[in-house]
Amino acid sequence: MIRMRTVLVVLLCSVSLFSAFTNAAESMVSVSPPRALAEFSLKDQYGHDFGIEQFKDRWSMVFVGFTSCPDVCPVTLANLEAVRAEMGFRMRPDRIPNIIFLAVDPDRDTDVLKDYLAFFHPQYIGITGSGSEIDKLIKGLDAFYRLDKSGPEDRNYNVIHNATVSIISPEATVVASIRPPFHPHKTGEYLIGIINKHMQLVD
Amino acid sequence: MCEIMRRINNNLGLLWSVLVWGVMVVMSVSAVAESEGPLVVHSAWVPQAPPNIGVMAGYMSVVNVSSDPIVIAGLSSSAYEEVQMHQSLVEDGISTMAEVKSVVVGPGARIEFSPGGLHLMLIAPVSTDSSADTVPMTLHLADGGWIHFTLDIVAKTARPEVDVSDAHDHSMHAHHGS
Ligand SMILES: [Cu+2]
Repeated sequence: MIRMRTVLVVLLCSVSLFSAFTNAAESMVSVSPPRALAEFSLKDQYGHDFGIEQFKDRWSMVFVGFTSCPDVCPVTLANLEAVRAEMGFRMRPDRIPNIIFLAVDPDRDTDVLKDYLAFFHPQYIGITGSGSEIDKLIKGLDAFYRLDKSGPEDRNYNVIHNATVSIISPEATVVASIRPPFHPHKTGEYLIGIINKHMQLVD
Repeated sequence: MCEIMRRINNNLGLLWSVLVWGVMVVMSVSAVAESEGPLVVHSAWVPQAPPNIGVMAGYMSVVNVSSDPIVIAGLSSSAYEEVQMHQSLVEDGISTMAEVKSVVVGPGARIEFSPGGLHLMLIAPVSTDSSADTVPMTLHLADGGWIHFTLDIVAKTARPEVDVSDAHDHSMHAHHGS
């Protein structure tokens, strides 16, 4: 009986320890094996085609947002830039991920995306397109968004979207996702680990 | 257990966002008190934006220098069709913002509207003239009083380096709903 109880206590402890670890690490999750993205057809802010080919031969971080997101989106993009800067000290430049802003509100995003990025983040790539093509990529990223329109006349609606950022390999596979908080050092460290490990496996 | 940890994670996320741009408030040491009344507005700013952007977020500090609570009932501006108070939220990895109908500033309390948290949602600019360097604002109090102040338009190049050493969660003071 006593032994049973001991076993039970040990079991309970390890269960709670385990869940503590998974939760602490929850903001950075690797996708194993990497998940291949399906074809999609969007345009970047300059009007160039952006599809699965454009993910190839480089690393990318994809952030889901919209241009009428004046508060959190700029903060997140600035945080990601800080992560990139941190990685720059300790990694081959060709492995540092590009920041890709997936704008999911084409009605309001398409016309302003170029100006928006030129003004705030000239080095980033912004992509958008039709709702159905956006949804293909969103599905591949296992991401989420919703246009909170009260009706067809509503122009000032909010967009609810993932705070998660997907890490895409040069083979156009999702290898990890990261959630805020994006701490320059910790997040950068994690990404360096993920990317270097992936490159070793691929080489 | 899982739920608690998740909550903590979420709060950290919010806090981190607040931190990143939060230093902007400290920046404006020029902190012009725009009113001599019981509620003082200072360090009010908005990032400069391309003219075709339909919404912007403005930020400010408000301090209640009186011994009675003060309720902010809303804001307006001749430069925007509508101004709302918003709270940004990240919950279970989903990012959203919610309108806050009123904000109670306790006696002696300070409330920061800062990036990633409480902000002034400036909706639909009335003109595309981008030569102005301030935005006229009026803050309306629940008791019928009002305060005129201006938001400084801050160019990106003029923004200071991010400092993450100091911040506090001000969202608890916000009174959601009316
Ligand atoms: Cu808002």
